[in-house]
Amino acid sequence: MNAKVNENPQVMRDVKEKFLRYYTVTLNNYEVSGHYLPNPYVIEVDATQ
Amino acid sequence: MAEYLIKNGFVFDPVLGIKGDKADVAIKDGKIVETTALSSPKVIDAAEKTVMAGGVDIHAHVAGPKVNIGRNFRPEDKLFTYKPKNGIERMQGGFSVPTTIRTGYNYARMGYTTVMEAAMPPLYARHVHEEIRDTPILDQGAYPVFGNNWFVLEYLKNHEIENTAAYIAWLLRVTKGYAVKVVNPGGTEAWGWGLNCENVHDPVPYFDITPAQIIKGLIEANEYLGLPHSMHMHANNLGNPGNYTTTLDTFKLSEGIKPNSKFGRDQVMHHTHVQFHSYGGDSWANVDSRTKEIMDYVNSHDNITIDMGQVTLDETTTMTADGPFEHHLTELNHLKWANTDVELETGSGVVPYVYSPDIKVCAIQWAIGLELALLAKDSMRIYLTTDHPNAGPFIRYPRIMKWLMSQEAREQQIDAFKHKDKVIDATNIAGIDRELDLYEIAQMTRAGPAKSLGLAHMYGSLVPGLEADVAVYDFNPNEPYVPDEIENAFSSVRYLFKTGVQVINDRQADPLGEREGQREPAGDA
Repeated sequence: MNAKVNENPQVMRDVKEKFLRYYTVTLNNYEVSGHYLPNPYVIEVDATQ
Repeated sequence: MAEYLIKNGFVFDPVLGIKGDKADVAIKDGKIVETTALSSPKVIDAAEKTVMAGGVDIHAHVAGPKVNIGRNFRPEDKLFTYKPKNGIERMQGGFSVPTTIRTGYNYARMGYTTVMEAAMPPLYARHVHEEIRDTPILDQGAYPVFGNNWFVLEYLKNHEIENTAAYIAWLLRVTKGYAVKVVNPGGTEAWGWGLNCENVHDPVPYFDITPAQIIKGLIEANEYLGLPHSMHMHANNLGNPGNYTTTLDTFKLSEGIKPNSKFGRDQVMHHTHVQFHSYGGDSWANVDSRTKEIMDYVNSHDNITIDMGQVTLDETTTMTADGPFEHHLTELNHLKWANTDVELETGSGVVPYVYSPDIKVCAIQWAIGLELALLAKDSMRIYLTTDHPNAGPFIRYPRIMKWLMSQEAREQQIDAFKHKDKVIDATNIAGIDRELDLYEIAQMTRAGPAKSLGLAHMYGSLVPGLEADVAVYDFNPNEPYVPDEIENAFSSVRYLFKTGVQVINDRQADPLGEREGQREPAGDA
């Protein structure tokens, strides 16, 4: 799923803070890269308002 | 790509409203097309056979770390189940937790072509996608779990729907997930303190929030985003006597919320494996079926869909993000237990389980699952699942079809129960004479789950333009049959096409059945 939303600085700040403070992996090492999906199918929704 | 014309089969398609009429199905360039669009097709003779779209499984645990723990810590599940490489078929192994290869092959043998992994821990999403990549034939998606996630708990404590939605959008994108899954909301987090949330008003330790707030908030965030699928619910208090009241309380949280999705679904909550959530009584000594109360609610509220979680009476491997439940289970059966905590996100447990027909409770569970489907007024809103492998392995779907379609088959099974009279007293199954037909089976296994998932524009029907996922079974619905013929026919599809590629021919893997290339991304539907 690729759901588009308005930019949300608070959520992105919270994400960065939680990764720095609690996670055992870094944010850069969290995302599943395209390498893992050789045959992807993306459904997009637009929730920007 | 090759063109195919599947001729003269008895077609069952709830979207087209075809109830076993003779019809031809045309395939070209990976899609279903009008028969007039073909130039020189290869003709498949489907006379005297049943033709349906490929099956769609809305809820199974088939890929990822907990599945692999099940494989690793149950060598006994692999004993005598290995099959060596044969032709283009690769080596296969495992029964309740099969290898990825066997998972793909066995679903295909039943005519299934789309399967959703029902619980993806976000931190370990890579493992899930690695197993999906190694599962042949099937189209798959995975639901990341949100019901015990620290971000979600903190945002929803203050009812911050927009922030919750932004976080969901981010997590779905980075984990390549499909839908919002909720498992024992708050309860798995509480398990970190050795506690649980046993009803929707039980506060989550430290976070000062209740399961009801989590559930309602996630439904609202799901609809804020307008995702294809609704929030996918595994409620609190799973598997405990008397839990049907918790289930009804959970259902009621969806009241007054309307779907906001362009993908054609009507529900705002899909509640999964409802069999495990429909128990009366207050102990295992007096547990009974409360399917009438549950189905009265579902039948009268069209913004809910459910799936069965049917017990198949096998030895299996339970696995769930409901960590406290798995501890409860290992205390009950004293078999081995695996348990983990996934940092800020979720937890998980794995325990083997034997659903024996000689145990009264297992037989009552068997009856409850079937009652749900047999008491349903709309088979488009209840789907055939076993919560694989929790209530039994998915390879038993054809057996469940037999039980649903034949009162004689159900009576045979009831007669085989050691505590037959007690089971009849505690359930409604003996008084139900309804027999589902193949049209209703197609609703429960094709059109219904595809619609609930918001994927009816791709799967679940033979409408021209959809993916050419087509199954042809050796079953003539117009001839008299004994119940076992249903199970035999639907266990071994005669021909199967996945995205227009013939993957099974004459019940054998087709040597040309290699899946082709990458699809184009879809737009905002």
